[in-house]
Formats: sequence, C-alpha cells, structure tokens
Amino acid sequence: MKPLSMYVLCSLPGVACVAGMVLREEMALARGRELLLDTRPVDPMSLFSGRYATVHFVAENAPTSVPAPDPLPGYGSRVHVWLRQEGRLHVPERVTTERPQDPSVPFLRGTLMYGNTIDFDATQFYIPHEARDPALAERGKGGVQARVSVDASGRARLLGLIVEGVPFEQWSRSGDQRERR
Amino acid sequence: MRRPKLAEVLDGMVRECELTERQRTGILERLGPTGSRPIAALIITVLASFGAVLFAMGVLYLIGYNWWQFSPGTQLSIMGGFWLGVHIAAAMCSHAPGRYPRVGQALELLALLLFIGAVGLVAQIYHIESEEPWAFFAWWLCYLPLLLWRGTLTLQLPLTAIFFVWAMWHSHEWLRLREGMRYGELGVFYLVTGLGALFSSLAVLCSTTARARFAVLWAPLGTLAGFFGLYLLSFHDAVWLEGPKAYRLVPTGLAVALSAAVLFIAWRRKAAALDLLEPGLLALAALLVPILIWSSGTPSALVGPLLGNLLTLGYLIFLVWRGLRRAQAAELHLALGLFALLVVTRYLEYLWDKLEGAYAFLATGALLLALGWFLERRRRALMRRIA
Repeated sequence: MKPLSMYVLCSLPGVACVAGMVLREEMALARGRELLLDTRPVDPMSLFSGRYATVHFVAENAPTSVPAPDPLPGYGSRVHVWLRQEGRLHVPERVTTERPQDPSVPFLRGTLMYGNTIDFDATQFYIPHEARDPALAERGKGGVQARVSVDASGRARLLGLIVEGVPFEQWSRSGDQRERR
Repeated sequence: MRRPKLAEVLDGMVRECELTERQRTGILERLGPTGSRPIAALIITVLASFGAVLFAMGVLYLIGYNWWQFSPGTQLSIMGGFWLGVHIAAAMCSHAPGRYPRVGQALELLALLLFIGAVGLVAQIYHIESEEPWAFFAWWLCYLPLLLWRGTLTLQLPLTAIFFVWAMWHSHEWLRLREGMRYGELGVFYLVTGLGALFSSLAVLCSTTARARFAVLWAPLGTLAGFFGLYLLSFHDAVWLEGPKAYRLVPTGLAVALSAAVLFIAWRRKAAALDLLEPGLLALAALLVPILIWSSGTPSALVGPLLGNLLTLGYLIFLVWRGLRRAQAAELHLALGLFALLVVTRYLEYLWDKLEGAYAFLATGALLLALGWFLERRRRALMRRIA
C-alpha cells in the first residue's frame, strides 16, 4: 500500500469518531421528545470546551423525594425517573429500575450515584465567554428551566435554557443592554 | 556516506517498506558505535513539536470562547476543515518529494492534539456531558493506528501519556462511583505498579519486533511507574482497612492480566529471560500487597506499609542486580537515587509524626543544611584530588 493511502487509512478512525458524534446527536435530536424540567445551574469551566453552566435537574434528587425501590439498587446502576406534567413543567413521579411499558409515559434514564442522587449525563450547557451567568437568575422571576430532548431510551439531551421566562440567549442579551444603559 | 545521513536513508527505506526495522537496526549495529549524533535533526523536531503544542493550545483557547457569532455549522466546518488540512499537510510533508519529515512529525502531533479540540467543539455545540475518561480512551484508540504505522516518538510520547491518564482517571472514577472519593484515590495507587508491569512488558515485546524503538520510552517508564507504585504503597496512609472487596482489584487485575498476555507473547518470541523478569516481578507485586493485607485476617495499619517498603526495597535490589548483570551504570545510579528518595521519605514521614508543625520544618531544614555541608566538603576533597 502507498504511504499516502496508508496515512489516510490510519487517520480515518479519528475523523470517523468526530463525524459519528455529530451524526448521533443530530439523529437523536431529530427523533427526541421535548420536555421542560426545573433546574438549578452553577457556572464552572472546562479545559477543552470552555465555559458552561452545570444544570442540576430537580429530578436528580428523585430517589429521596418520590417513591423509589426499597432498598435502592447499587451505585452505578441504571434507574428510570417517571415524569408527569404539572403546568409547563415535567416533574418526577417515581423511580424504578425498569423503564415504563407505556410509551406515552415520559421518563428519564440515569445512573444512581454515591449519595443517592441520579446522574442524567446531560448537565453541561455551554455558554459564550462573555454571556451572563444563568446561575444569577432570580427564582422569584421564574428561575431556570431546561429544555431537553428525550429519546426512546430515556436519554436526555439539553436543547436550551429558559431563564426568568425567556430563552437564555435573549436573557443574556437583555442583561448586556441593561448594563450598557 | 556519514552515519546520520545513512540512518536517514535507512529510515526512509523502512517507511517505504523496503526494509524491516530489524534489518535497519542490524545494518546500523554492523557499522559500529555511533559517531556524531544528529543533534540538528533533534533540535528541529523539538522546536517544531513545541510549535505544534503551542498552536494546539491556541486552537483550544479559541474553542473555549464559544463564539455565538458563528453558527454551529460554520464552527464545525472551520474546525473540521482545518483539522483535515493539518492531516493532509502532515502527509505531504512526510511523504511528498522534497519532503520535510520533521515538520511532518510536528504536524502529526498537531493533528493528534486537535482531535480533542474537535471533540470539545462537538460537545459544546450539542451540550454533551464531558465523559473525560472515555474521551481520553477514544483519543488514544483513534490515533493508535497512526502510531503503530509511523512509530515516531512525537506520537508515542503523547499517546503514552494519554493512555496513562485514561487508565488512572477511569479507574479512579470507577472506584469512586462505588466507594466515594478516598477509596477511589487509594485504589489507583495499586494500579500504578500494574501499569508499570504493562509498559515494561510492552517494552520487552517491542524489542523482539520491528518496533524496537518503542522500548526506548516504555522500558524506563515501566521501571519508574513500577517503583513509584510501590513507593506510594509504602506510606502508612495507603492501606484499605476495611475487609476484602474483590472489585477493588479489578483495574489492577486488568493491567496485570494484560501484562501477562503481552509477556507470554514476548516469551514465545524468544525474549531474553532477564528482560522478562522485571515485568513479571512488577505484575506479581501489584497484586501481592492487597491480597496479603486482606488474607492476614484482621487488616492492620502496619501490614500494608511494611509490605510496601519491603517490596520497594526488593525491587531496588533487583534493579541493582540487573544493572550489574548488564553492566549499565545508568541503571545503578537510578536505583541508588531511588533508594535515597525512599530513605529520605521515611525519615521525613517519621519526623512529621514525632515533631509536628514548626519543629518538623526546623529539623528537616537542619538535615538538608547538614547534607549540603557534607556534599560540599566531599566535592572540595574530590577537586583537590583531581588537581
């Protein structure tokens, strides 16, 4: 095999890996179901991908706030949080180890962590360097909710944040304008 | 023809698959001891590689800014196009006529570093949770074929570091999920020796294949990781006082199993018995400490550190013995240096227990000043003798 062909062949896994990630996310977003969840964001920083807000769903504490298996399964086990709609929001109803049989029941898939909280693998909402910190949103004015897309397996993907009743981008810009004035 | 020039021609022939690595090494060995080393080539490689690292840091910095003036599609196109462009430039520099192989190597390094930038950008656009241990594993796995084909140190060094970080990080996360932070940290202590055994076995295997040059990095790395793994266990804090739980040994067990498999292949390929001894001993030591602690009935705070110190000393004695057998002064010096480190550490640990706070600092400072005085006195005596 010629060196250039060999080079292309050896570089292919890396390119395929990144392209595969984009494809997987696009397909999941296209097929997912959109829900609105209550959250409490904080604002850390990632070395490789910049500034983000860590979005803690209220559903993370579901094992201690709604009916759950007794005893709880071991740490690292897969659990499912069944949701019900209350107004615009979806709130936890119960925690189970099996997913609901009824496809119309919305649910989130997560991992039971040390301390009986649930990790949903969808907690990082990347925000521009100069944007306002969503953790500063006032709960009295509506707080912060997360728009998520949930696929058939229950995996949640963050679509956006609703801060004080408006989309995050709009909330951040309105804050900038207020500061300039 | 001068030796460096000839070596470069032979390297080219290896890359073109006209010669095997073993044939290349054989030819160079028959030419006798090395004359002048290609220092200029080394400087170019180091300089260009440093440039690649700085450039990659700049790209990561830009990604970190998360500019929303560009749409996600535009951001992905810019990053993807640039990343592919770097790959093409690396291939052209390495293989096109009138090539620049060292700049090509640096561009390969840049392409490797940009992978994590591309993954970071995708994570940013789709708000994907950072699963850093897995991302590091994917990073290592995706560029492993390029390393195996090219066999350059500019790829071997970062990929080895990425693998090491992934193994430690992932094990820590895996144990933390089950036991909480403290035990997660202790669990990876045991793994360091296991990884030492793995790298040491890989070095032995490589020395029996066409990729003998990989051993230049992995052999000393295996020795150092083996030592520091045992050294970490020699501290009196580094022991699990709770009863045995088999899963705590899973990460170390995997590293040891992998090391045993590699050693078996090396043995089948007729590797020297002396070379096989080090990874074998390290693999045994990696599992011996936790198993002996737990099989001793009531786990005690004394058993672990005692075993850790004995094994560390045993390993240093082995290094001295091997250094003498191979007539390698560097190995003897290394073993003596590590022995000094072990003694000073035990001394300071004991001192810290007995004299707390200011007294410990005073005693340590006095010790180092006395050591300085002694060394200077010895130096003066040696200089007088030479004069």
